[in-house]
Amino acid sequence: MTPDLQALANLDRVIHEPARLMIMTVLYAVTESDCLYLQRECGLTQGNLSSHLAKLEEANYVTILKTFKGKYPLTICSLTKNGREAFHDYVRKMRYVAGATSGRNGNKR
Amino acid sequence: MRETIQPVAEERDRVSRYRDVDGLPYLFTGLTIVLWGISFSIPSEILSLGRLGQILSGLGSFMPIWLTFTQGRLIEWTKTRLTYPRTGYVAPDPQARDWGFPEFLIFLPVFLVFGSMPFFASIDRYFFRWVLPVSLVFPVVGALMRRKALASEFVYVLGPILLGLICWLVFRPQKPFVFLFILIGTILAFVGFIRLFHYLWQNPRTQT
Repeated sequence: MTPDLQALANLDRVIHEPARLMIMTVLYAVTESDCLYLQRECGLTQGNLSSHLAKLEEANYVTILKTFKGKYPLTICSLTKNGREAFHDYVRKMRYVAGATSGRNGNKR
Repeated sequence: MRETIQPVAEERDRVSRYRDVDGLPYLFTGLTIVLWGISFSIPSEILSLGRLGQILSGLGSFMPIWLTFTQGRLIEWTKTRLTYPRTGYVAPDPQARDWGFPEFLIFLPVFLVFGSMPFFASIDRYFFRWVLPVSLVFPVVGALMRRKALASEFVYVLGPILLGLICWLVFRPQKPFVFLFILIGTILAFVGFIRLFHYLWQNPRTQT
């Protein structure tokens, strides 16, 4: 296996799933947001979002905090330090692969 | 890393627009400016009362100052009741939340030049000739320093000032700067009200 293909095999599968990648991208861009905002931004149903958030929380990429703003309940999600690093690493690997396929990594074919 | 991931950069843009989508920042900023305008019109009438007039004008100035500094909290309080239950909560960008030097320059005319207007107008009769060019320089420099939000700063600061100037040239009122302030504030508040109405119309509250 070439190093380029090896990079693909080492991609983080928790993040690689499209819905979770959307959630990670949104949470990477904001400090924190609630589930309603994530649902609308990612176009997911409540159940779908919950299951993906649970997987991300299990991987210690996301923290979920049930709190109140005034008397209104909010479920606030934010990326952990681990999650931020994992997303960073995922993007770096994807760029490497994309660069290899367009010949920018200097690979002779 | 901050600007290089396209979807992340786009999401950040969406978040910064989302903070204004309900029109509440426009509405509160407009109302604050109207109050500033009203407070500037007070001294000329009541300063003739001597020390009592000065005390009353000082108290009259307190309301817009209080509103200027508590505006963020008032907007957040209103968003908690109107916006977050409808379209969700997202924390403001910490970089946008902090007031840096560019933001200070943008609002310097409001806090300094216009704030001290009654005093300077009483000692310099040509005050009105130079205050406007000076007040325009600071927001432009501030907006240029804050390149990312250049367009929105122009809309917020220069747009209402230019509109007010045009109206001033058309109507030529007796108290041009008070008129200008109240007009700018009213325009902003009106824009905010229309945006808020549109937002509430588009996003009815869902039962959870």
